[in-house]
Amino acid sequence: MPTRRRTLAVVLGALVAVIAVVVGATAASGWRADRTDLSAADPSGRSITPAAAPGPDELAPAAAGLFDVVPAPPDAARDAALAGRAGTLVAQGTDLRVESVPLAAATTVEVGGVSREVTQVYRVTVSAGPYVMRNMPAIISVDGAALGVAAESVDLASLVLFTYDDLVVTDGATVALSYGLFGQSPTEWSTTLEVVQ
Amino acid sequence: MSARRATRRLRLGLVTVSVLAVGLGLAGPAGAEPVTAAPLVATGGLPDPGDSGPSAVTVTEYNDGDTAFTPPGFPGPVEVRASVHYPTGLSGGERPLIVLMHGRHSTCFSGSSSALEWPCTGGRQTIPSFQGYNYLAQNLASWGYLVVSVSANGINARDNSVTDLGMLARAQLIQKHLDKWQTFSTAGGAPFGTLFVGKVDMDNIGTMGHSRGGEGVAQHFVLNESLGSPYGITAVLPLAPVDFNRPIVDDVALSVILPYCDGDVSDLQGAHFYDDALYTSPGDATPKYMQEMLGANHNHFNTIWTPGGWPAGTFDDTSCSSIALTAPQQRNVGEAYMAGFLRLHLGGPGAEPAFKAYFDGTSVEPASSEPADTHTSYHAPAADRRDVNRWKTSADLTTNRLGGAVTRKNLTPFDLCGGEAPQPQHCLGVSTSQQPHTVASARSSKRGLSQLRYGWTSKRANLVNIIPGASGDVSGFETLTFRIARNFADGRNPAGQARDLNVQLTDGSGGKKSVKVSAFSDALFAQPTAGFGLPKLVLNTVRLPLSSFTGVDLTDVSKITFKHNAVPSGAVLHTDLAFTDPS
Repeated sequence: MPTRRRTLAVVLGALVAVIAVVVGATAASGWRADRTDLSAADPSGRSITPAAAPGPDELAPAAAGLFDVVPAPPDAARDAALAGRAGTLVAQGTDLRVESVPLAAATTVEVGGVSREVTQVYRVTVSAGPYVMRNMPAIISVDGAALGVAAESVDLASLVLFTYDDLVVTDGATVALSYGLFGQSPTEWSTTLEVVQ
Repeated sequence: MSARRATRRLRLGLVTVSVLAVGLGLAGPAGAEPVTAAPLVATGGLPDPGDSGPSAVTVTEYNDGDTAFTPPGFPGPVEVRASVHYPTGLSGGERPLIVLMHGRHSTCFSGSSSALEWPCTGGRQTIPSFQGYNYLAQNLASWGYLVVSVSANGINARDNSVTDLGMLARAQLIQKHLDKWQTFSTAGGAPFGTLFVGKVDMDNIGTMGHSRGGEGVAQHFVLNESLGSPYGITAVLPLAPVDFNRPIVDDVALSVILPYCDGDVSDLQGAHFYDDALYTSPGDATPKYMQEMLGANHNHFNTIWTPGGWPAGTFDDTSCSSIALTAPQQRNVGEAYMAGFLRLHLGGPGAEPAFKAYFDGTSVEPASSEPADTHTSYHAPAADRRDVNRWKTSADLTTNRLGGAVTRKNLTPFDLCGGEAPQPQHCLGVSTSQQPHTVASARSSKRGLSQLRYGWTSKRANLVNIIPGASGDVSGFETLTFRIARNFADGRNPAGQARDLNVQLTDGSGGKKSVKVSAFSDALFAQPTAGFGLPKLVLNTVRLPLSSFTGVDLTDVSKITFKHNAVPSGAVLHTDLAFTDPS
């Protein structure tokens, strides 16, 4: 390559390098840079279950799907009245309340493959909003174990999840929110769980 | 600058960087770096799907009420409401019907505050997400189509409380609207009377769904089929879709749009729709397409979700900090590829077969999509392909689908990843959300796309697929196609640099010819990295015209060789090697 051409190539290359540095700096200060990127983290061995009603599955027989690891809450947990029923605070964190809400009647549930009778359900409320409506599911997890998909409150100020899983009363555990499966989606929010009773 | 943009600028009579580089002697001989993929394919004056048609358009709406329908199994009633765009006058007979479905968004608003409930209460009013695609509906109606955009707020208000996240309900709602259109087109009915009687072809329906609506139209295709196909769905278009349940959409023309800068469905999981639809139905007579749109985000495809488009609930979700398109730019590229696909496959008054070139790996883009850069994937109908190697199982590493030997030299690791066990679930050691082809699904344990993974540091490195004599006559095909992507996580790829390779065909008499991939495709582009959760790995199609292999007897091709002498080192993911399309 003639010298003049080589020189021009070097100059252009340097220009590209400068642009790359500027672009990189821009990226580092991007509005999403404050999120936690869980690069290369493996998804939890546990999985997610919807906040409430299991819907018809005829068209989606997802055998051994991730949702199946933690069964969906039974009908009682889908009682619309539970959303407004008074509960007892059992654990908390920053922008987090975990309440025990009495069921209208005792029911048998399965958590982690173990069947047991319960008379109350945990209502997990994350109030770090306002939240924008997203198409990816808002997943609440405890120490990396997904509890389920949270539903937005009417005013979008909070996210609510019902669960029977006692993980939500694990003192010192980390409760986190991600849109998508934990470990393959950015963590949007997290707090440390403090059991109060 | 992308290679395709360079191509377009050539068309516009401007000087491209690549041409300038060649002129200055900067491109250098084969093997010199950097490589700038620079396809120099003329557009040949293709029509632009972004252009409006000749018809004036009338816009109307029907609304049976906010609680008119309860999808079976869904925990609440939903609205039956839709906008309708149609060519004024409705001259002629039946025309294809196009159904649009929006995704998940706030349902109600008051002032600048948005809310999630259904129906809206307390003085709040409905957010009309279904009106967010009016720009697309206007385009299509001007070409003679009847376009219905369905409101799905009632589903959005409760879908997170349903195990399948509302997908069956979305499918049921679409079917409910088709039932209404069956009536409108036969007996007629309120509020249109007999306006549409004899004007709707219920056997030629296209569907487009955005985000959760994208899986909604996929699920609807499956539902309609499960009901005995009372309606003819002939084209399905998931736009920036979620794919929680992994329904298979085959035996129908399918086109998936992946916005590279999607900050909502940021793992681009909709790639599964395309990958899952390949090879599943023997003899599938329909093509599959996918477009990776650089610079596009999630929300700007819907004007109601776009900042400034509505008083409440809008936001710019882009994950890119340097290549983001403006909202109008994004709508332009979206309109071009959505309208183009639907007109290509629905036929009718706006039929335009020439649009295929925008979708099949040919390196051209609609001028109206400027300045967006779109990369495409294409899977031809079964009868139009001779698959050489699908790279599905370990056997494919030594013997291809035609029975020919597979050999390689100086390639490492040379293994399969992303497909069924025992393959590793993912191909790269980076966040799984950066690997759309293999990202896990919320409602399915299905694995992802099986890919051949390898790299090289020697210019003598090569990959050979022997073509047995019985399969060597490929003169009836137009192109050699394969999917490929630069492995951005492999250090053998210098940061920010595209890759390249030469593909050589050899015939039974020893005649041979190599062509450089970058002369026809920019599929090996360097994925943009500036932003959050980037880069992302999407395999795109390389389409090499067999006519470019001059001197090779196409009736007796004996060998396909990937020669990795175009750049000193590199690493790629590759799959779907085939001779494609009738010549």
